[in-house]
Amino acid sequence: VNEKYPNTQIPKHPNIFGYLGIWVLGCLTMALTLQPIAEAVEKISSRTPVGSTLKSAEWEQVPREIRERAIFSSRVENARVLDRIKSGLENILSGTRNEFGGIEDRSKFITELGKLAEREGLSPSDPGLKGTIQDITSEARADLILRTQTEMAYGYARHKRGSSGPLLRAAPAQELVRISERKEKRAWVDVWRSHGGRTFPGQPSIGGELQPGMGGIRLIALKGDPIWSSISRFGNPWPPFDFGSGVGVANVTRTEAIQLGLIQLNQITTEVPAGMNDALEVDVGEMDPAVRAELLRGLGNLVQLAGNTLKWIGGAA
Amino acid sequence: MIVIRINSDDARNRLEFMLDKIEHPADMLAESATRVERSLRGHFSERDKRGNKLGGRRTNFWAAIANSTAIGDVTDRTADVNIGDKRFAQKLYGGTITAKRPWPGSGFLLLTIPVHPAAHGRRVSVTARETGLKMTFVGTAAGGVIGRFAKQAAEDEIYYVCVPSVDQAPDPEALPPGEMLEREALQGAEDYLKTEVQAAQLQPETGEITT
Repeated sequence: VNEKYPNTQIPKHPNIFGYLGIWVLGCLTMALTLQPIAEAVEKISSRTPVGSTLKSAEWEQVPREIRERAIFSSRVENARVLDRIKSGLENILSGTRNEFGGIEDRSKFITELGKLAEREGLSPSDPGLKGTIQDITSEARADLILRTQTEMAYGYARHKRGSSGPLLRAAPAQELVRISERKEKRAWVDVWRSHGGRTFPGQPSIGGELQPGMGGIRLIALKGDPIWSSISRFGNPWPPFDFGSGVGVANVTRTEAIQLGLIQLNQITTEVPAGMNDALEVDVGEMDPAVRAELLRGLGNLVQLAGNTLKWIGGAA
Repeated sequence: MIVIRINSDDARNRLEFMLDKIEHPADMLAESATRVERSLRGHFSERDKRGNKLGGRRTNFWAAIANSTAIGDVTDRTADVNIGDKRFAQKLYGGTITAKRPWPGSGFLLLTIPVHPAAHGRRVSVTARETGLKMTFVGTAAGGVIGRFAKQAAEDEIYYVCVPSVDQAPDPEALPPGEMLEREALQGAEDYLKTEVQAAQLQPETGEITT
């Protein structure tokens, strides 16, 4: 509601953390609750702000294991701005209330990030960049950061929850679906096929067509299939798979997966790796030397470099 | 609390009968919850297609709700579906909204409600910065407007209406119909049970259905 009514506070509902609904299945129950997704909050909280002059395309050269540990934004070195991004995302995902009883939302995040960036003197010197996503003081840039990071945190949380135990057995596969419409849609079916993905006839289980003229095609693969990382601009097996794409994933049940021939009737599903490697050692030998030097400067004592091996050791940037 | 019950005695009886036969009820509930969660996310995604009343730049509120929806804890007795975005509460329950801090431009405790497409989803300062316009408040503590005021009144543009409070009604379509969720939950359970029966038929020597 705050996006519609700025400067307002949502009244506290006694049942905000309670049950919204209960389905009674025989003697078993199912409930719909409104509560923060813990894994999404943890995902943001565990990341460290890293200031750097690297551009977006240069950050894409940085190994995913490092990017997943860092809060960064293209060409932003300012620690206060990066700290504000992190705290804003944490507040939004956790639903933390401020001293007035209000929760941080999109409009507050955008307003305060823009004001802070302006105070820090980060307005672009080129007037032509004013208001574009290259302008860290702009609504467009703050909105992009917010959408991408919250979608990534929720995507990770859903991936983690669905990668083991009963949830993986119940839904061993997932489908690429359109969560939000876009005026210009990327050719996801072509991308999928170019990475060797199997397609299936039928309407996607959520949303409309992924690609104009491709409404009757479903893009489905097992959760552990490497195609999910392959189609992602960020290298993650969870959404978002590109900036502002509007697509995500939907669970495909075991029954459907069997019918589609993705698994056998008595097949035991193996756990899907849910996160990064624990050792956090990555080879940076093939990185552009200038990008590598700037990355090392930004990471400071968060990492140690031995030869071409970069090891994440944590600590303050 | 909303409670939706399965009204079909036949369905309930069949479920109870089959529940006695399965070794891992959590797996059945997980398949059931999967269908409910997918149905919910599909509903939110459909809502997202509608756009906003002002016709301003879209904030994709409902897509954000869909992205924040996930299956929670699943045990042998219960399964939760979580919605992580707290803004959903106001849509579902409605309620009175009052300003807690005065807007610096007026000094009054007033809500600023967008009425111009360029103001949709934006606070006053963001709209001012993005449009490059000087936003002026005209009114009293009882209410007013914020906009761009020209020399000719006909050229004035109102961006926000200011009021002390707003009573927002619950959105009756915030959730899909309960019957639909109930149907999905039942379908998931029945799919699971059928698959288990088929699997058991492939392994007659086990004597019971296992997962």
